[in-house]
Amino acid sequence: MADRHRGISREAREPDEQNRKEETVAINFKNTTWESVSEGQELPVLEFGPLTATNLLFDASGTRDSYPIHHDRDFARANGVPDIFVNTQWYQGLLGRYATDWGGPESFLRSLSFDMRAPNHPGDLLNVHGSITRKYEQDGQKRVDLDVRIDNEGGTDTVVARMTLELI
Amino acid sequence: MATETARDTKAKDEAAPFLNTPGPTSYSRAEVTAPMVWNYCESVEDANPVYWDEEYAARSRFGRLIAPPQMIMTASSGHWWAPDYIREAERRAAEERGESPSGKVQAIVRKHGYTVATNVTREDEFVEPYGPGDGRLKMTAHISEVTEEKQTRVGKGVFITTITEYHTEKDDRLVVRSTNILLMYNSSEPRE
Repeated sequence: MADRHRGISREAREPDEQNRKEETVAINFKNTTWESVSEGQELPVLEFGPLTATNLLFDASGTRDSYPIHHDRDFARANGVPDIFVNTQWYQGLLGRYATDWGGPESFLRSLSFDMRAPNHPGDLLNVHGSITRKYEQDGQKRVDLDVRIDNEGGTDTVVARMTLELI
Repeated sequence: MATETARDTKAKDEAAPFLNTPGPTSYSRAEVTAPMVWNYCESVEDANPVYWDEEYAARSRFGRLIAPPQMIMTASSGHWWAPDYIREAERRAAEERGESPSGKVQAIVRKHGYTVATNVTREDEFVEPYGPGDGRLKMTAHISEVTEEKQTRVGKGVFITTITEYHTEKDDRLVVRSTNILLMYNSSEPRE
């Protein structure tokens, strides 16, 4: 923390010190309102990676998937794939995160389905992007349908997802 | 030479009595807990405070910490390892529950030569939030459709649609409904 103040005058520093508690304690995640969005709108891009073997360790333990093809390189190669790759449950997590990162903490995922078309291995940099395909009300909920895709540096549409997100 | 014949409906017809019959109820290995939620969020770096911050979550419209709804497969997964006496107790419990309709239908479909299984799609519908405090997840599945034989890229096969409903153990709320389509095919006759 000391380095942060190097070269800054005491006068300039003090308000920062005073405000610091509030800055670090308050959580102010923005919610996207249903009224403010429109069909065809592009969502912000999320980059994840490049993936490492450690990400795959977090994947196996966090999603409780012990199938060796996702964490054992020798096993993966013996089974016809060049390397370990992230699993179905991890994509569920990343896609859900992508939707609520944009929708905000008050948004709620209402449905999720996706196709996995090509694997993502260590070294791959994931680019998650999407758009609103439909905006409507159903069961008293303000909903948007999303078309979300995961590309990597080598190709597009490694994962193609259809999601419904409820906004406030 | 390709002669159009009536599509084979033998597996479909034999499976018909087992459709839409709820199978035995089973439970997830563990209760949904905050550490389980955090482990999951760590893996995809999900910072949503309704998963992490009890005070924030209490002020949100959910009123409490919730699990990412998309965590349902993880939350309902089994042991990686368990002592023999636990495994044995689980095996006995499964035996008492009896064979699931999915098991029966898959056996019928296999008998007709469609022996290789591959998942085609899964769609999860998140009916209500669930989270720490709801206890374990209670699962019940039924088969809603077995198709007539269809020609696919990998061979002739039938598509089996299974619907699984997840309820909370504590207050028996329906929280997730998932629809899974499985292709079972005969790999000895791929499309020419």
